[in-house]
Amino acid sequence: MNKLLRALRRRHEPDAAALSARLDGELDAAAVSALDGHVASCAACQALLAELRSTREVLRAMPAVVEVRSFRVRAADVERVSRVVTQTPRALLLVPALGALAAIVLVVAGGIDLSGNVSRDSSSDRAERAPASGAMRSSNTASDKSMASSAVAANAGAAGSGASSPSAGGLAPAANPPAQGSPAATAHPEAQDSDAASGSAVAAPSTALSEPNAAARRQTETNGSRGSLAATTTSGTARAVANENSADAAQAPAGANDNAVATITSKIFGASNRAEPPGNNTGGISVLQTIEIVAGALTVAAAALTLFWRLHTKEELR
Amino acid sequence: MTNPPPGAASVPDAEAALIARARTGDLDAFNALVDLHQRLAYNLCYRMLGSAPAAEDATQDAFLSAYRNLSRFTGAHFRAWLMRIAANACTDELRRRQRRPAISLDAPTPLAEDPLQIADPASGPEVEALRSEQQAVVQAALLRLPPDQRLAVVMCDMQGFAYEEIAEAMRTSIGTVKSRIARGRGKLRRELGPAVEQ
Repeated sequence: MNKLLRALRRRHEPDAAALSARLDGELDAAAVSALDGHVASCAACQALLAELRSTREVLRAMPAVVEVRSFRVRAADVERVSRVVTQTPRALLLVPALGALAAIVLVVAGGIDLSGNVSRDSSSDRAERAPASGAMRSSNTASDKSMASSAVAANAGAAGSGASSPSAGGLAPAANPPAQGSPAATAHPEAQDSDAASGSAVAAPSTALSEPNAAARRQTETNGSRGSLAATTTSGTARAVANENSADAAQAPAGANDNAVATITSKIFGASNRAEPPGNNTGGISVLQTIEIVAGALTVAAAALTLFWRLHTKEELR
Repeated sequence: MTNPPPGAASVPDAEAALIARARTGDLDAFNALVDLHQRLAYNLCYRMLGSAPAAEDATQDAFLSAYRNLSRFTGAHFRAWLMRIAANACTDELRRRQRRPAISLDAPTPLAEDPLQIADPASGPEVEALRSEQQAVVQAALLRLPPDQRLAVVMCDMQGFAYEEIAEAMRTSIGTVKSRIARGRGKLRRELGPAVEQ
């Protein structure tokens, strides 16, 4: 066993690069003497050196090929090449620069958009977390009418945030039943409207609706045209505002319910008002996104044109 | 193989004078440089591409490009600079083949395309036929090497360039050249097993 271990330790991978350089006389004297000393006692290195030497001899024995024509450069060829290069339209020379500029714009706009998205995401995260706690609190005081409207608002937030917040979706139904009852709606006309607004917020993401939210939507339909009007608008604004409102509602202290309701209703009125005009459709493509798309298209077009031009020029030079 | 003498590495005075004249636009002076180096450049292109017509095109492109860019030559080894331009022309051709593959790189060179080779007049026809066959095998094995190893092996073993010149031509370090030559020789040894034994 010890013998085998010693043999394995003695075995090594021959340094082909050093042996090859030794053959070509590219090692200094010290390296040559050290290598020669090792090779003299190493069978593996001796074998590799012999193989490299024979390969080198085979290659060296290859005859030179004789050119069948002269490669002298003619003045006409030089002129032709110069013509191809100088006849290139100046506008084409600007294409790579334009592409680079568009790429920079794309990166900058993308960065701004990304940072905007991050800040929006963080606020929506806050809104998603809040409804769950708000709904839980309101479920404990379900007899309080004002809290009922708060629960509706919270539920709107839960539905608005869609299926991405399971805790909100799971807790909101417990809080919602008082909100479905007519007393809350009749005692607080504002709350009715707020239901309508929350209904409009819920109506758009129909795939993520829970049963209580469907109830809110039914109420919206009975409440009149406001809900249906708002429901026809793009869900983006209404949903975002509903989230924000539900967050605020959920964070409001229990002792300040009336103030909270006033705040909520005013905000929801604002939300529904903002959501109604089709001109304020922020769910579509923003200016920043338009810039990104245009810059991206310009970058791709410039790259393609530059590549085509280069290939075309090379072919013409042949 | 007629390898250039090892001492012919740096730019001789006569060549330097031709280069200086060619830089002023003297085409005759440049063509005198072409006469000096065209066989070397053509052989490099032929070994890199494995086809005489492609090698001719690449060599012509290389000299045209060298003339247009002569002002950029600042190194000590003119022929290494020329070989770099020739190698670039070969690289362009190899890329073009990759984009539009027409023939297999692995296929042996067709005999009809074989250029004239300097033969030993003392040997008989049988020996010559055998040698020719062996050369075709070696050329086919060379074409199976990666281009960077092929260039290093051709410049070192078939054209007698020093490592320093090869490094200049390949724009890399001497250590990398050493490694590429060793790996190229190793692969050729495995490819040419029986041929090397002969």
